[in-house]
Amino acid sequence: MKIKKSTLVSIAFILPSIFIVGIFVYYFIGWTFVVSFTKWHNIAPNWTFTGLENYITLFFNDQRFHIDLINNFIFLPVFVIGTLVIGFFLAVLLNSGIKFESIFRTIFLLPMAISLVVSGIIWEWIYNPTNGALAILFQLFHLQPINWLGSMNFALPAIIIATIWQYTGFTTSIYLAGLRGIPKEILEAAKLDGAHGLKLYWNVIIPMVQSSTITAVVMMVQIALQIFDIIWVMTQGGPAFATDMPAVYMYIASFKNGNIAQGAAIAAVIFVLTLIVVIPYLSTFGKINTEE
Amino acid sequence: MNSLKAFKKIMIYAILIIAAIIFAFPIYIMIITSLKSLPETLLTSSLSLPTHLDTSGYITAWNELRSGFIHSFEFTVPAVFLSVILGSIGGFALTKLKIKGANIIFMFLLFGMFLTYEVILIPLVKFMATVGLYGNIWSLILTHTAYGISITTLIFRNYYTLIPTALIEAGKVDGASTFQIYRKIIIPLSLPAFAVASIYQFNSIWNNFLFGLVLGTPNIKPVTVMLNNLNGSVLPIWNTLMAGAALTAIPTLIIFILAGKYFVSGMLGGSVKG
Repeated sequence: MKIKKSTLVSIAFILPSIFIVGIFVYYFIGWTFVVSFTKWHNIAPNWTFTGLENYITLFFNDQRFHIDLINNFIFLPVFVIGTLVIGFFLAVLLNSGIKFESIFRTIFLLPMAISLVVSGIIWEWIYNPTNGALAILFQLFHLQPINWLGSMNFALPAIIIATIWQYTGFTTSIYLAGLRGIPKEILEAAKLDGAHGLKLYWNVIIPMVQSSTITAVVMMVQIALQIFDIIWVMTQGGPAFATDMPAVYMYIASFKNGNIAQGAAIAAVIFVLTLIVVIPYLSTFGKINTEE
Repeated sequence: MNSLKAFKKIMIYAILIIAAIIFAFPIYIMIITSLKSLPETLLTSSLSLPTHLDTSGYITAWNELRSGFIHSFEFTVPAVFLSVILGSIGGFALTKLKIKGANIIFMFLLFGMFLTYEVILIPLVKFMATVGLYGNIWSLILTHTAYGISITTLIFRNYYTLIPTALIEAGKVDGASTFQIYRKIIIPLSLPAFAVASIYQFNSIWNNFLFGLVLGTPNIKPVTVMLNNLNGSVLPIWNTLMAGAALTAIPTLIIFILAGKYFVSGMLGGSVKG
């Protein structure tokens, strides 16, 4: 069988990507899963198969991992709902035919253009109990300054606020694109049918931007599940694990303690959790994007 | 009715202005603190403007971060270039070359966009050590290229579906080879997609922290990792830290302010409007 030259050329255009993604995504994922079933607890490789032992330890005997899951399950809904609600609200305001819209939009998006390391450090300064911006504001109202990042109760909410600040521009953009995609006739028809104010939003606009909502939820859930950078910069999981997250534990286990199998198992758990939202999304996303 | 409308308008502006102040506040704090002297950061209100401009924070920060800056440019520029080229030729092949299973290949590549990086972190470092690239700038170039392919392919694929296939057919009739069609017809038509993909990639690679943290040996350490190390020092030198933060943010902020439209488009997966 002779393959046409043009077919070979076509394949040559896409083969490098398939090859690279094959190694860096699929092979690496496989590697991590395999290692998560082994006894590789030190720097030196140990491929002894132990079945689910590492996972059983994590879920039944590892207090730090329990704390991490609880922290992450607090972080996740607050962060996702925060970015979605504020993002939708700002998008509606931006879409109401105002002047200087692009200036406002640029300001809301600024945090998306800076590194989480940069924002983490700025927020650390804002939260600083001695002369931090928030402490100064508290003094203006004669309130006692709080050591936000050093407090068991306030450290996690403080980080959640910083992270919402970072990503809300993203959800605003997604919703703005969605709102702009609603045909004018539909809005006019709904208004003629007597839908006004909140009713118009609840019954017409929110259902019409459903695909924006789904995209935003998937993106934000994924960010929340693997949250690492901003926490590593601001608290490294402290005080006393109050802001510790699975990804932070994973990093410490694998790269500080050299417990490769344990790190791989934590990584695998995070990965499987994200698949719960990613797989349904990807199958519909793929369908939409492969229709022509 | 009219006064109600006017009231509504005023409320909208009021809320937007308050929101804008809140969103810009951390950036404002960063800039004013970066221009204060160290004693002033601790003695006067952190909300007030510097009493006199002091650049010592910038000088110290620049001396600390300069090599990180160079490293970041050294891997960001080639990785942007490579990932954009791969995305472009891949997107072209998937939309215009009638490859069997193009949709399956596309989904295969797209999955990388939703990858949790924790799950590839350990094998990534082991792999770089095995192939002898650990500690080499190419470890970061390759890594950022690999994890950029999904988004760049998506951006170009979405863009190329808008280019009429008739143009390609016309090129074929004229006897142009596939490569010539790509170079002479596709590339000139897709400059906006190149802008979107490059800007998006520059932003995410420059700002990345995690890969630099695990692969960044001292000779290739990115500026983000060096900035965080500066943060870990015992005494918080807030003016230097804020100056370092500002310096680190400058390249991406400039691009964002100049080309925000392309940046947003990349974020939304390359829904490029002309």
